[in-house]
Order: sequence, then structure tokens, then C-alpha cells
Amino acid sequence: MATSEAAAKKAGYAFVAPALFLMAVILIVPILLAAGLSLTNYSLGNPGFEWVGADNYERVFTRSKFEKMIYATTVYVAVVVPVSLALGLGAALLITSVRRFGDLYKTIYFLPVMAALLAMAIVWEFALHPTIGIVNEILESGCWITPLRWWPWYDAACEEGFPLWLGDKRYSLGVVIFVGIWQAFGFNMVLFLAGLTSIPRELYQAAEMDGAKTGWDRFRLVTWPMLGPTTVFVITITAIRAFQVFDIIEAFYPIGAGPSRSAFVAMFAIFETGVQQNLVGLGASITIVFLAFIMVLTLILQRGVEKKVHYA
Amino acid sequence: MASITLSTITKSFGETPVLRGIDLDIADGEFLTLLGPSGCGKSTLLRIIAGLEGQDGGDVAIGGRVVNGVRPSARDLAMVFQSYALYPHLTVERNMMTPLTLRDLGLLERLPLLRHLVPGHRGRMNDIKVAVRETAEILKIEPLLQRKPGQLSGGQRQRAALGRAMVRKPAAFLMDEPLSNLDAALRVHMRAELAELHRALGTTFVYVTHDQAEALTMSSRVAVMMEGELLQLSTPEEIYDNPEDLRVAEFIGSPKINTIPGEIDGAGRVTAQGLRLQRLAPVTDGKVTVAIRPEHLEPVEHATPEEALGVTVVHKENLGADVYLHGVLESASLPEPLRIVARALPEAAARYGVGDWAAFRLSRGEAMVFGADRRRMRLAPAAAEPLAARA
Amino acid sequence: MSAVTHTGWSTGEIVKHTILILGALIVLLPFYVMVTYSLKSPAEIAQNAGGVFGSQDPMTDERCVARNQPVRTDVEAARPQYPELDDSAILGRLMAEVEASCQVTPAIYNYTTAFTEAPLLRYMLNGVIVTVSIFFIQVLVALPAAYALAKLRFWGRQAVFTLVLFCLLIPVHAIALPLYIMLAQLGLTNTYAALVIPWTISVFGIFLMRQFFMTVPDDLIDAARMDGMSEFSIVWRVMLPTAIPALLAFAIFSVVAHWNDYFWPRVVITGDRNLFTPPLGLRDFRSTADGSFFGPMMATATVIVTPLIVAFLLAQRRFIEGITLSGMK
Repeated sequence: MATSEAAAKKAGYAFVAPALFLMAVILIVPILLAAGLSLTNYSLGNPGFEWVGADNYERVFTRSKFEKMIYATTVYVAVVVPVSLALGLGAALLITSVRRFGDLYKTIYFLPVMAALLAMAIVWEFALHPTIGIVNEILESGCWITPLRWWPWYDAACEEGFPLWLGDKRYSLGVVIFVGIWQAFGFNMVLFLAGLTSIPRELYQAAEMDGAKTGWDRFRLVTWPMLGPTTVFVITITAIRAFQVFDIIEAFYPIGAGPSRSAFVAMFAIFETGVQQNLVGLGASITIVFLAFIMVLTLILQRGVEKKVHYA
Repeated sequence: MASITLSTITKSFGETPVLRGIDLDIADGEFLTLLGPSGCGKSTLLRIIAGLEGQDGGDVAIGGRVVNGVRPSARDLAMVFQSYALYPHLTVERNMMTPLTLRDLGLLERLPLLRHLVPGHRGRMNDIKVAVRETAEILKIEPLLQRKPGQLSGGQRQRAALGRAMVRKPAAFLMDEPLSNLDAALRVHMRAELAELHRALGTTFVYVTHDQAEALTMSSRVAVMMEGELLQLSTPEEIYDNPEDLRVAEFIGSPKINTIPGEIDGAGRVTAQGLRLQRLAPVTDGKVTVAIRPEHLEPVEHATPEEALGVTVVHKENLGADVYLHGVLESASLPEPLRIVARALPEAAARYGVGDWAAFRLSRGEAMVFGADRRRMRLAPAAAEPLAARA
Repeated sequence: MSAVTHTGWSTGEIVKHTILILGALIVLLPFYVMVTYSLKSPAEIAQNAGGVFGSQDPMTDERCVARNQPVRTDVEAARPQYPELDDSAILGRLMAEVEASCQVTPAIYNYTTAFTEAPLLRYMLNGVIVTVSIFFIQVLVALPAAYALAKLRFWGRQAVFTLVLFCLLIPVHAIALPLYIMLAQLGLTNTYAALVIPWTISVFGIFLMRQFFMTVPDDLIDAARMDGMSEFSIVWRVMLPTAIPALLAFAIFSVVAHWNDYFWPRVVITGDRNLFTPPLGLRDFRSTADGSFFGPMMATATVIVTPLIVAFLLAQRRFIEGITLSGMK
């Protein structure tokens, strides 16, 4: 009879084998495949392909189309991450500080996280419709309020009509970013709420005894430093999600990613180039660049988490 | 330095009253301990003094100034918390600097970068650093100043928390079970150190604990609290020797005081399970509780039923220098057997084995008698009695 | 005397609530638009009329009219009924009759159209099939692996765990293109398998369950071994029951992610409507829709979004726990 140790060893291999196999086939092999394909001019359905060296990468970094991709993706991430972080933190702080209805606000702010983003993006498109959309209707209805007219943009819009939003390349990326923030900040809020409840109450009392009189003092001395690990985590997860934005752009602009490709983000580029146009080699090279970027960023941020966590 | 005066403090959490009208005068420079079981309201009272919680009724005065509604930071008190509540992201030095920077520096001066523009900033920062260093010296934590709380042991954190409290030289220190997170040996050591620190500083200490040993060893006076009431306020000796309330008698002392149901006859004589007390009660007829400390009972081989309690030994608790004999007293008048503990010297205890009969004689000190309202009854010596056994 | 009153609305409180209510209005705006449009007639939508619920005045279903358009034979058949009229007048009559029979309430029109114009029920069923299969396979693969990584000692365990940590860095959507090529080469595009396979391995699930199993005392497992259980039955009869709360949270995490996923189905399902998941169905509806279809489209969106929202409202705490599960990393 085998000892239980030997049995455990055998079972160990048996138990990790399926996971190991799937990890290899679904996660590792595709990366290697993408790396290989990125050096070819392969197309689906073609019998053969040629090695083209770094041509695909050169195109990614030189063509104006991909310049727009890098610009749109960077702007999207660079705006969505800090704004949704600030709004999430602000909402969490406000919700914990009000005496009533905190749970109600929490529920409402979390709804966008649950709803299918594609569906909600389509609804936003309706709401932002230049003539029958509710957004412009609401904006127009405020034109008689004089203090609002002091805002030059608003005053001009009241005179000359409100923007086309999605159809205007000055606003298109902004609207995509707005919907991205609308969807993301509730998630961040919930993470911050969890972070806030884990701050020991005695620290606030110690701060009070030490003379932290204003809310700002307490925030600087206790809340913000104690939320450090949560904040780094929120940045990581929001950044990873923001990099992968796709649904909003596909909902708004099924073809072409917006007026003059103003919302041509990386995932859309991969989809359009690799799948729709069947330029697999080029799509693969975008994939590799994109993946390297995400993984390096995640690693850097995780280091940050570890550093922050270790003061506890 | 200041005295603290509490008058008729009341506080409820929702429908539950936690403080039922507390009056307390804490003298300047005193080490006063609030002692009681958990949930007695002692921590709430301390937090009301600190201003971390508002009272529902009554006044708090510090140094003669009524401070109701005054912010904690404006009360000139320092507090040491049970969990120490050190800021985990700051070094010990920065932790200790915090109360000084918050008090002495303006808002502008506390902002990063901008602070360098404020005139006199460097000088004020130097003063603060010097103050921190002096305190660290007293507490012997200078080598720890650059460490973060996460890198300190429990005892070191305790000192750092003390340092943060001491550095701004407050009018009084408030301490909420500061030793409860330390291991037993360190706790005993810190007891002595805190008492010394109190003598050296001469500042008022208000100390909350549920540990009677801490209360008895360190305090000038002890306030025993139970169920939101202040039961007794006296010196540690008085609290132990002369409890005014049965609950105080039962709470203080280890092993717990023996309590025996008894009664008073028409002449004021007190009997408990046959044991006759020599002194007379101020009232006649009624049920009472007779309480006797284990060290006041002595196992003897021969005694009359009137001067001793007859028990069966069920357990011997050997503590080395002393042995506690646990006996069981069975009687038809008792709903269940009564456990009686007597302290004996090892030689005396050796004569008894588990299962033996023993007589526990009231040999030293006095039995205490508590009425049905749990208040102490003062007994008068019975002049006419010829028998001189002190009881 | 307490400085703080517990019932009053201080200025600060009013300011905070004002900000929070404004935020809530912006957050709820699209939900409001979605539901209210799903109840209105095309005319009301175009004119922004009808308030919240629409007037619900009967409207003419243009498609119904088109379907029942009177033809030559109808007119001929109707001649005996209207002997005094000429053909064009009869046609007008008949048209009026058809239009009268095609009157419907907008709300009913929108929702019935949503289900009849496209196989919405089928889409929903596909959504259920895909999310449930994904979750079950994920658990089937992850649970034993997590147990092995947490509690069994074997050579290479650390290496496997390191691989798990590395794979946590890979977002599956980012490698969609090579996965798609692989599936296409295997002839698996446009199948349920294509929708499920990439998600069968949840590295995050393995990691999460492993962290959870680390907290299970070894004694429990040793006791099970003493009772004669095999390692296989320990996983399913001892570890699985202890992991129910964590699994439930993971289930919510997984189901929400895959019910709402749009990108991956968009890549591998091209054309075969029978395999559309709910978001794909909505997208398809949109591309074929003209202006009069706004109402039914919003009805479709409402139907797709509602199940998760309702489940969330019923079990909020669990959902928030499940969705923020990734916060435990």
C-alpha cells in the first residue's frame, strides 16, 4: 500500500495537470503564436506566408493610423484612470460621511458596473443624439439661467446649438471617455469603501487627540496614507480595464472608430486589423506591443502595492 | 497639569444606558484608575473626558474650565490607546512629531514644498525635533526613532505611543487599557515603569483597565465601576480591605472572596451556615451575605461549628508559597453546594487530601456583611460577649 | 450635552446630499432613457413627448400594415360588399380596416417586437448556456489545482504556482487574435465551443481558491485521510463544501463578466444568429434597425440588462463582494 505522502504526490500531479495544460494552450501558446505571426504576412485562408521580419512593427510605430491608436489609447487611459479614481474616492468619502441614504447611493453608483456596457453605450448614444437626445434637451432647458450663461462654452452653445457629440471629432473621444468613467467609478467606489472600513477607528481618534482639527488634516494624516494599498490596486485594475476598452467604441462607431479615427483604441485596432481586415501579421504585432505594455505596467504597479503593504 | 471634575455624567447608546450619573473628582497629579469588567462604561467615561464622545448630560471640567463641546484637540489631553494607534506609514520620530506640528505649525507650513517658504519654519521644526529627542531619551527609544511601527515589538510600540502622548506635555494623560496587548511578563514590567513615569512627570493620569492587579499596583486611587455606576472610589488598600459594595468585594481579589448566605436574628447577631460572627449588626432580622477573603480562613482540625465552616476538600491549588484549599459546604438550607476557598501554608495544607473533611476557621481579619441591597453593613463590637475571638 | 445633533440636516449634510444626488442623476440617466424609450411610440421618441411612461395611445404597427397590405384579389373579393364604390375607394376602405386592426399599445408593441423581430429568447438561452458552462468548467479545473497548490507537496509545485502568478498578468482579451486564429484553424469558429474554450482556465480562480484553501487547517485534511478518503474525494467532499462562500462570490464574478462580455463573442461568432449571446443580439438588432425601431431596441436592451440588475438588487452585499473579489489579490 502506498503511503499517503506518495498518494498525495500522485494526486498533486493529476490535479494540476488539466490546469497546466489549459494554461499552456490558452494563455502561453497564443502569446508565442502572436510573437511568431507578428513576423509574417500571414492571412487566414491563405495557404502559405512569408517571413517579413520587423516590418509589421515598423508599420505600427510609423503609420499615422497607429499613431492615432497610441494617442487615443493613451489619452483614454490617462484620463479615465485618475478621474474615475478621484470620483470613486470622493463618492466613497461622501457616502461614509452622510448620516442617511448612504446605502442607496452605493447601490445606484454600482448599477453601471452590473449592466452590459455595450447595451448602456448604445443607450448613451441615444441620449446624446443631437436632435432627439435627452442630453441636449436638458442642456437647452438651462439656457434661461443667467449664471450658467457666464460659462462661455455654454453661452455659445445656447446661441449656436449644442454639439453633435458623437459626430464631432472634437468631442468624440471625450464622450467615449465620459462613458468609460461613468461605468468604472462605481467599482472604484466600492473598493475604496472596503478600504475605508478597514482603517482602525482608533487612528482617527488619535489624530483628533493630536490636534487634527479639519477634515483635510485627518485625510492627510490617516485616510490617504491608510488607503495607499487600495489606491495602487484601484489604479492597476482600472488601468488594465481601460486599456482593453472596446464595447463603447464598437457601439458608437461600428466602422472606423469615430470621426477621423479619433477613438481608435488598441483593442479596436487589433479587431479591425487582425480579424476584419485579416491582416493577421500586423494585428499580431499590435497584440505583442499592447501585451508587453500591459504586463510591464501591471508589474510596476504590483511592486508598488507590495511596497505600500509592508508598512502595516 | 490639571484636575479633572466630572459631575453627573450620563450617556446612553440608543436605549441602553451606559453611564448613570457619574460624579468624580480627579486631583491634580493623581494616578486614578477606572476599574471594572468589560461593558461597565469605563472606556466610555474616558472617551467623554477626552472629548471623543459627547455626554448626554452632566459636565466635564478640566483645570476648573468646563469643556463640554470643546474639541478633543483643544482640551490639552493626551491619550494612549489600547492598539497604540500609531500612524503606520510614519516613522516613530514623525509619529511623535505629529501632535507638535499640528499644534505649532500653520496649515501652510504643513503642506509639502510650500512649507519651506514660510519664515521661521526651520527654527520651529528644530524645536520640535529637540522636544521629540528629549522625550525619546526619557523612554529610551532613541535607537527606534527612524523605524516604522510595523518594525517594532509590542513593548516598543507601547513606548512609542507613550512618547507621542508625552511629547506635547499635556495637562493629563488618558490611557485606555494600554498594557492589554502585551505578554504577561512585559505587562508586569511596564506596570512598574508606568508608575515610575507618573512619579517623575507628576502629571494627572487617568487609567482604564479591567485588570485589578494593574489598578492595585499603580494607582493613587481606584474608581470601581459596574453597570454604568461608580461603586467605590478610594485608595487601593481601602478598595481591597473595605469594599463598600458586594460587587466590589467580589470583583477585587483573586481567588474570589467567599460569599456565604446568612441571616440576622432579632438581637442583631449574624450567622452564616452555623458560623457566628462576634459583632452585632445595626439592624435586626433579615437576610445578608457574609463575605470572607480566603486568606482570612485557616484550615484547623478541631473547631466548634460556631467558629468554623465544615467542608469537604475537593481540590488543592498549589501556588508554591501558598496552597489554596477548595472545600465544598453542603447544607439542607442551601440550594446547591457552596464552594469555599481557604489559604494555607504548604505544611498546613499537607495534612489534607482531596475528600477529607476540614474546618475552615475564621482566624484573621474580619468577615464583611452585606445587606440585601449589596451595601456594606457596619458591625458594632458586642460588648457583652465574653468570648474574645475576633470575628 | 452633546455637540452633535443626530437628526438635523446641517449645511454640510445638505451640500453632500446635493452632490450625491446630482451624481446619482447622471448615473441613472441612461437607465431612465432606456426604460422610458422602451415604453414609447416612435412618434413620442422623435418628438421627445409622452413623459416617463409614454401616453400609451394606440399606434399603428407599420410592419403589421405592410404584412396585411390589401392586394388585387382582396379588392375583387370586397366588391360585392361595396357595390356603390369604385376600386380605389374600396382599396382605401380596406387599408383603413387593416390599419385599425394593426393598432397596438406602444409598450406592448416594443416588447413583442423585441422578441419576435429577433430570436431574443434564443440569445438569452445562449447567454445562460455559455455563462453556466464557463463557470462549471472553471470550477472543475481550478478547484483540484488550487487544492494541490495549497495542500499537496510535490516536486515542481512552486514552479506551477509561479506560472499561475505570471498568467495572472495576461488579459485574455488582449490575446484574442492568436486565440481566434487557433480556433479558426481547428474549424471551431461559430460554435459554442469557441465561446467557452478561452475562458475554461481561470487563473484568477485558481489563485483565489488557493489563497482560500491555505486558510483551511491541515488537520481537517488529515482527519479525512484517516477516515480513508482518497485525495479525489477530499477535493469534492471536504474542500468544496468549505469553499462555498468563496465559490459563490467567484460565481457572481464569472457570470457577470461573461454575460456582459461583448468583445470575444464578436470575434468568434460571425453571422450565425443561433449562437448570438445577448450583447451580440442587441448589436445585431441595432445594425438592422431604422428610426422606428428605437423603442423595440431599448426594450431589447432592458431585457438583456434586467436579469443581472434584479439579481444584484436582491443580493447586493454578495454581488459587491463577488465583483470586488479581484480586490483580494
